[in-house]
Amino acid sequence: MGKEIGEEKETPAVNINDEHEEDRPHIEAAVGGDKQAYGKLVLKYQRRLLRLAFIMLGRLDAAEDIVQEAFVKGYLALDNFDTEKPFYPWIATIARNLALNQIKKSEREVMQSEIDDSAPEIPDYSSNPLDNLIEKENDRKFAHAVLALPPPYRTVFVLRMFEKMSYEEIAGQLKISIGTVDSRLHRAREKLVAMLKEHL
Amino acid sequence: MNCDDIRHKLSLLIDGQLNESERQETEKHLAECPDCREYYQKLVRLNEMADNLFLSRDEQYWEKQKNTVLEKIEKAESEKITDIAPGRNRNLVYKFIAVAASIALVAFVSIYESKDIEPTRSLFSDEEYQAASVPSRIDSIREKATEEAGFTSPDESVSRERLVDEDKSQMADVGKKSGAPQKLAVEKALPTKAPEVVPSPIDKKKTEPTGEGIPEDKSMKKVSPGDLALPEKAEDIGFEIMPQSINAPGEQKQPGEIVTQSFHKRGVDSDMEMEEEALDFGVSSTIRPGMPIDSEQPDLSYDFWRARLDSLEESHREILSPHYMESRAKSGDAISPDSLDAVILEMAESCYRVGVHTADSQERELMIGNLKRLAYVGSPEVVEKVQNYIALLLASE
Repeated sequence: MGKEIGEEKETPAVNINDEHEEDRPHIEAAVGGDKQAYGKLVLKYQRRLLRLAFIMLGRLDAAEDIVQEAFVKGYLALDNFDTEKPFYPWIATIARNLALNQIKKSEREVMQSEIDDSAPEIPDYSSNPLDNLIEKENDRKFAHAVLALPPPYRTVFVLRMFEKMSYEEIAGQLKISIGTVDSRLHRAREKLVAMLKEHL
Repeated sequence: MNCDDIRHKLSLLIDGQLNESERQETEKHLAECPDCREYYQKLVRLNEMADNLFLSRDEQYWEKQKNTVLEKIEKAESEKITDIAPGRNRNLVYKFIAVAASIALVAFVSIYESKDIEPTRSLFSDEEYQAASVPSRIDSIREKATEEAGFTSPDESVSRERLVDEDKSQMADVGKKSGAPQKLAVEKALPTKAPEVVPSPIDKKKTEPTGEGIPEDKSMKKVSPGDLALPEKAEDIGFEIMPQSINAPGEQKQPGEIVTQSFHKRGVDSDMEMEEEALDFGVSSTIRPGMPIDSEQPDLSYDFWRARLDSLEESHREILSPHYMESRAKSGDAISPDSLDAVILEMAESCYRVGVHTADSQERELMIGNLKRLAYVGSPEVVEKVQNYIALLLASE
């Protein structure tokens, strides 16, 4: 199987400074009102943002909405953006906050139920658009398992594993203690190892 | 360390969070324990899977998504109000309009409420009103609404008549506990601390510093309506329309002779307290109940209460658990009854406010459900107040 679309651009190993230098002309043009230049940034980062939002929310339609809203809000707030700083962390923060608000809203609906500490079964996502989004069977299983995590664990896991945020950053973002970040990450991993025992 | 401890450490090891000695200890265990070694390898593989997870879509999909974003930007720009005044001046104009509209709205509500519920209501100060008012209309709404909702109070035995007729000192106690929920500062050390009452802007000029939490002061004084003045500030009016101001159980006396009670509250600077409270809740300290709404944040009020509720849920989630009372009975008093009441009042008010402000009917229903749970947890006085919130929320539909 060939490389997946956007794979090279999405690899987190890309040097953030190089990325910023590459983006700078588009950012500056966008700040000056050039929407096509902003479109180039959208094209470049929407995949990464959609992955983040989708894994956080578990729904493609909601994730698409969040990503679009983040880019719109980002454009409208470009006046406040420091062009000396990289674009992705900034736009990702907007998207993350929107996704977290969405999660909080849905969490409240199941707020009263305690977090189930037993390892859940991987749910049947056969009708989930996930299968159209992820080609590799193993990756699909992994994504299914992450989506099956209780939202508090999933959020911490996603911020750490996909966004590469530090424990301190996660704690600050979610307004929880570093100890809670630590324990939620441990629990999330424990559950994932249990769910994916045949695939790891 | 046993294998469970080590597995926790492995999660930290993989994130580079262990110090040198912990790392050495963990690695030593790994060298000796094949099970933990296997677990560690699985964690490494998990990391790789996360790094390799990509969403696969054709270029047309991404192009379409991008175009949708650009279209939405065009739309958002065209919907923006055309320049009333450039730059900062425009913001000032927005703010001025917002302030004026808020003051007009609050004044209207205050006048309307005062005419509709209690002829002399707007003439009372907050604490005087709490002690003096008979919320007959609200009571009837509450009773009707709770009846409709099939909600039965666990505290039917405490009747208002008894509270009025039996014992004035008991009344003073009730009054003390029925202090405004938004004024109770829930601190991080809440489980071990008695609740603190923060004076509202109205209270501030009448309070006396005592250096203690809520000292008892059951002194009663007679006030004639002519002695009472209209609130001076928009904030005062804003506080006045809080539900707790109209639900104190029936303490009204003879016409022209209104018995009120005064509360001596902790002598703190209420602004400072609000500042700390706002920081605790992670919201701007400039957001206060009754303050004008910023035009760029049209749902500020909802956000404020939602943030407050979120913060309370984060620190006191267990209270909303259906099994809280059982677990509390088993585990003993992890949180003192007074502190529990303070938290419940905070939660109840936040639920009520969120329920009133939200445009989402499901969220509103959820808030009603939360309030019903809270009404089974606190002291009888608090139960009564929570029931009032339920009734007001049901009636506000």
